[in-house]
Amino acid sequence: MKKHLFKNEQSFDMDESSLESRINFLKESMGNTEDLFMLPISFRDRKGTIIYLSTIADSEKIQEGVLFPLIKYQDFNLHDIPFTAENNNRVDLQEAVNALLQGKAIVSMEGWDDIFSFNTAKDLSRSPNEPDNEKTVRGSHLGYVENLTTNIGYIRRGISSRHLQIRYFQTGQYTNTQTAMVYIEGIVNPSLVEKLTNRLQAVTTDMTFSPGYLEELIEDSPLSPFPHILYTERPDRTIAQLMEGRIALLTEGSSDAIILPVSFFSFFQATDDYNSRIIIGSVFRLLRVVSFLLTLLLPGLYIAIIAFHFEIIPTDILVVVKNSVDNIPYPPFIEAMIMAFTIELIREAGIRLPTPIGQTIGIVGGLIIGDAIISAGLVSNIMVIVIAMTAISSFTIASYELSNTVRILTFPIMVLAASFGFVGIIFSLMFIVGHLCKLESLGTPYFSPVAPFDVQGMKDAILRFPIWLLKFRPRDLLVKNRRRLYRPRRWEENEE
Amino acid sequence: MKNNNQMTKLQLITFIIQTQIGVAFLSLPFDIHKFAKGDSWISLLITGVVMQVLVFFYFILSNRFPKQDLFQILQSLLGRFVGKCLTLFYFAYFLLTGSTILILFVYIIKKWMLPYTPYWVILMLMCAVGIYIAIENLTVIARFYFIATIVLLVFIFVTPMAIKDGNIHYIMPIGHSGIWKILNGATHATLAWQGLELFLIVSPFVTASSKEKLKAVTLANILVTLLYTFLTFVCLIYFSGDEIMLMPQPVLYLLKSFSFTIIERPDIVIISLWIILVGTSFISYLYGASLAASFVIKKWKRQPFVYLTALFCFAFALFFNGEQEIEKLTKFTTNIGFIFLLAMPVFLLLISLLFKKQQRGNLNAKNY
Repeated sequence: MKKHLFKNEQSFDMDESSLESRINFLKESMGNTEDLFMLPISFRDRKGTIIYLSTIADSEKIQEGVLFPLIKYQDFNLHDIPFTAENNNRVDLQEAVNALLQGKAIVSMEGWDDIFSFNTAKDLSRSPNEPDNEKTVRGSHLGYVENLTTNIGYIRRGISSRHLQIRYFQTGQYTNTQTAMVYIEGIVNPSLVEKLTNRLQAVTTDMTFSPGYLEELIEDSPLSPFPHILYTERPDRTIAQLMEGRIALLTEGSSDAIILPVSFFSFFQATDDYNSRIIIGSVFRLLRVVSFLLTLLLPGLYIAIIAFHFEIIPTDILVVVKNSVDNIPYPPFIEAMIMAFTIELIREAGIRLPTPIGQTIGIVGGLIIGDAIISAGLVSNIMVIVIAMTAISSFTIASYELSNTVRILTFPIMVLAASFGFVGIIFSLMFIVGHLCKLESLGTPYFSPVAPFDVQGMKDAILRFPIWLLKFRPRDLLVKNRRRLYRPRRWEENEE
Repeated sequence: MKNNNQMTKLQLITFIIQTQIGVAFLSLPFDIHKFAKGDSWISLLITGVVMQVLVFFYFILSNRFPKQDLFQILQSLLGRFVGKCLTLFYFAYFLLTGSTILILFVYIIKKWMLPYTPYWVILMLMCAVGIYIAIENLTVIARFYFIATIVLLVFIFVTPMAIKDGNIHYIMPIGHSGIWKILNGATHATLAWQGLELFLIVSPFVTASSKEKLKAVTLANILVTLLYTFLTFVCLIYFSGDEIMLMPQPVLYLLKSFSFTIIERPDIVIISLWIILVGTSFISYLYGASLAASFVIKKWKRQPFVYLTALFCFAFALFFNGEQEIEKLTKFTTNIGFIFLLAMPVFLLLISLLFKKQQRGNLNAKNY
């Protein structure tokens, strides 16, 4: 049983039949808010009222969908009037309050026990844009908007199947945010749906305004630096993930869908991989995986080599490095820290500022500081190259969350590398890999398909295999139906 | 709900390989060469064959008690009291092996990579990683080992490069040391195979039929034997007999003599990767020891014992680190290993066969 967070929940004694008392009840329940509008009407000499919240109900819809039919069909029974406003059903008083909050118009008549509600909610959404965070070259440029119904509509349009299931949840006891769980019956593992349902039902908060707020409450290990939940603003990416047997969560008022359970390698898959040719898609996927490792290890390796194992680089390069490092007053670790910190500053400043100023920051930070810091002799130019490479490769990772994670993880690796050289790097790698092996996303192994090893899953992890070879869905999700396709290129046998 | 403490047969292979390949790996050619000279590789092959026979014994034993781990088998065969006492002995043995691994590890690391770093700091790093992973259930450990196996590929690809500079005459004529010396070398190689006994501990958690398990362990044993033999073979033809006498870690010296265009000293990279192999062996023994301890003291879960075991290994390694002590300790561990690796399981099997004891179903291996 959920515990209620409202402190002064009142109950009213009411005389349900009288129009007056009903209106008073609604007024009281809404706390006499001033955007509550009441429109007196009369129907066959009976007095009645249309009640709605002017801020979220569309007065034009009320006029055309509710008011006009009422006037036009005066000789009909109230039940038989063909209202053009959608979703008219009978509610009781308690439900009426909720209906009002959703932008519905309530119609109450004197002498009638039934209260009618009409869906007249204002369409508050904007027109869809291409998502800034997940740009693609080819394929759909559609992004989610801040309206739940529209967003689910995009998914429905993408998957025209009766197996697509949508479950609604109310989260946030004050905000009453609608959250939708979307999955494909017959593919998804039912125990995952059950698990997620349990977790969502346990959420008792005053508000939820975004999936990110929910994420922390429903994920397996919130303290891990690695993201376990994939954010996407793209309906096509959501659809692809749903078809793999995953579940999507969308909330009203947010243009993100969150996908779970996900594996570590989901973060390397970009929609473009599947739209481009096999080899090219694979090479770019590989590039992203390599850049992940580069981001993680490059500063640490450089520090370790300079501070501990300079003998492993060939003499010719050693001379170059030595010339660059010799005049720097402090150890490479401090150098790296200064540079990495500067890059993080520039990045954070660039995000928070409006775009034109953000670019200026990039120029000031990148060019001017970079140049000046070398000529001032504070940081060696090789270190600038190393840190800049690290930063750039971190931005190639397809997920914003993961790329942040990696850049943050660089710091402890640098510390260990500066203290123990390669030994420190190996130990930090062992910790990270061990951590990845421990993680689970909704009870499925996070580091799959590498560990536990799954050949079918590997086909779409580090490389992107040809589509006709991706015969089965990943094993870690324990989907009900693993087969994805059946010999799509069998026409080859007939064309001789 | 699915069981959280299982591993696949593929993971069983990597589990056994990773547990076996550890500290002894780098110095193996040196250790055997002391006895068998140029025929050391034959000694290793012989050990491999003996171990294969042992694998069959293990298989028969675990087949008679399909759902029980080693400690439960002990209890079913020898009664509650004796079983628990022997489990304690096993606990001590795992502690000893774990500590030996730590000591040898830090010894080599200090010699090759970090001569100025304090002894206890390196120890602490290893213990921390050990605890971090050994505290998890077997599934997580098995996953980790699978990834760690990638490291072995590096060894397999790098060492063959030495063959072209090798001199096959160093090992000629084959069998020149005589059969007794070769056999003597073979007995001293068992330290490198220690870890096989953990099969009896993890066996009930493997989701495979007993035949598949046998195949997996056999494959693991073959791979390990071939890898050892190959490495030793390469070292033997690369260095002359007199040279090897001076090199306690011939594999590293071998790598040190290579140089590539980008990496001048591959031995430093390789020894860093070797840390992972040591780490996995250490984790296995932490797991084994904590499992044994939690079997004796049923009140506690396994996790606190992981901390305790690691702490004990840490303390032990802190005090026994002189060069002579290390030699004695290695010898002692090898001898003790004989008992727990070979003698005990064979003894158990004999009892089981003689008194026709099999699993009676009620006492199944638990998940921790």
